[in-house]
Amino acid sequence: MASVALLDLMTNKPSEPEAKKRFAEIIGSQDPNACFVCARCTTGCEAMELLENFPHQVVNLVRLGLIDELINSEKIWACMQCLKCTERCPQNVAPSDVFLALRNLAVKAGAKVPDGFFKALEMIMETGYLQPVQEVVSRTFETYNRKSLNLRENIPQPANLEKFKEAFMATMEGMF
Amino acid sequence: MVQAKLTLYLGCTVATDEYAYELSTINTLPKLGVELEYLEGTTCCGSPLMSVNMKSFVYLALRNVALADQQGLDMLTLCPGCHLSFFEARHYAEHSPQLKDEINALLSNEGLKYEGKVKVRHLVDLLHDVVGLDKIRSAASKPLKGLRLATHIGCHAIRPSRLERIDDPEKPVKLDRLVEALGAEVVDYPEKLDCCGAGFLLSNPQAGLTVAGVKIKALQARGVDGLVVACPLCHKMLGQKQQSASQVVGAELNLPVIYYTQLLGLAMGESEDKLGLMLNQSPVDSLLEKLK
Repeated sequence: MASVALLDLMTNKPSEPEAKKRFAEIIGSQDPNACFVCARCTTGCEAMELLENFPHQVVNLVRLGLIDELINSEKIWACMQCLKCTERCPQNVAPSDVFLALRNLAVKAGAKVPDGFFKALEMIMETGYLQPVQEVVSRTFETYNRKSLNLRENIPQPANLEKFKEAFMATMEGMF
Repeated sequence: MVQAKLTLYLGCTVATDEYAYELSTINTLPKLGVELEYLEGTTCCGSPLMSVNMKSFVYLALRNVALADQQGLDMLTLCPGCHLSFFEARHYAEHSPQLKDEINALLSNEGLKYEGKVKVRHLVDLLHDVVGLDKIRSAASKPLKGLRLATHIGCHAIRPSRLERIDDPEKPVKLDRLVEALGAEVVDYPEKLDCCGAGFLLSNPQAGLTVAGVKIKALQARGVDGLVVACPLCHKMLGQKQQSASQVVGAELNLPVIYYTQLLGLAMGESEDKLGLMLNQSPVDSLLEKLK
């Protein structure tokens, strides 16, 4: 099949049918091509109000194959995954999953990704959890920890962290 | 009488930060006939890594479910985000035998196997569907008369409905019914389905605080005595970070935000210490005062 000859107006990059195929592998059954641009996703989007993100536009840039544009855009990170768009899409497109698939491709392509996600990845790989066990402060500024609250002191963790880490790292093969 | 026995899965936010939720859960549920034992060997549910690498997410989620399978008891999650992770990863595994085999090959490194035998429950559907409103009503020896409360169940508890969720995606009522069972009045409000903003914590924390602040501001204008939550991240955003949100949206915010399990404990006559109420950063004193 001949590639789509649409060009992105900002950078004149051609459409990428190959990238679109890779995208389809991640997204599975929720086909962005089913979108008929009713923009119901966008009308209920809280990120649209706040950060001018328009999910129906992102879905349609995918339909046009402008994947490279998207994975280098901050748009794909301006979504908090409240899942209203996916719930309300009459065509079963799942815009929130489109955002996730594009983020996965952005990581893979070495595009600019918010630091927080790599920190999360590193912490989970090393300890199993997103952050270390914290000390907390009460409303009247007394410090508490798990022990002083009579909670079990050690949180559940993999019996063998090294083996866990080994398998976890294997899930990321070819990612970086 | 023991009505149900489950393993308790903590997840990152409850295990490392939001201790009041764990504390108020383990000090109330056994009195309703729910026996809990900690699920050992667990890690993060994988949710934050959906944005990084789907396969790593599915691996983490199914690893936790595999541990529950091994234990052989149904699994209780306190966080709707973890609950969705487990349902979503199971959905992928059930629809792709190849993915399931790949994950199981990785799990065998730790002698684990994902089978998906056990049921995964969230606190709200356990209390509403298994324990039941009647039992909760009769356990409430000190009914919360005169309190007007709003509820916020959390996005991931109810969406997407294509995966089995715990309540209606557009008109959730279970948490409302649970609050009413304790004797309080529940106030409906137009912003009920709006997000807490936690999904922005890793990418744009400032935007997350704006989302939280806007929601609290709207709720305050409706004159409620407090907001009831059943998600550690919603509590973090709407309760613990309320003063930061106040600065971001430029409005004075002073809305008491409380976990359902804390409210349940108060109605059962449990002490404030055992419910971790001193840890709530939002001004819950005004709410507690009304109960005296």
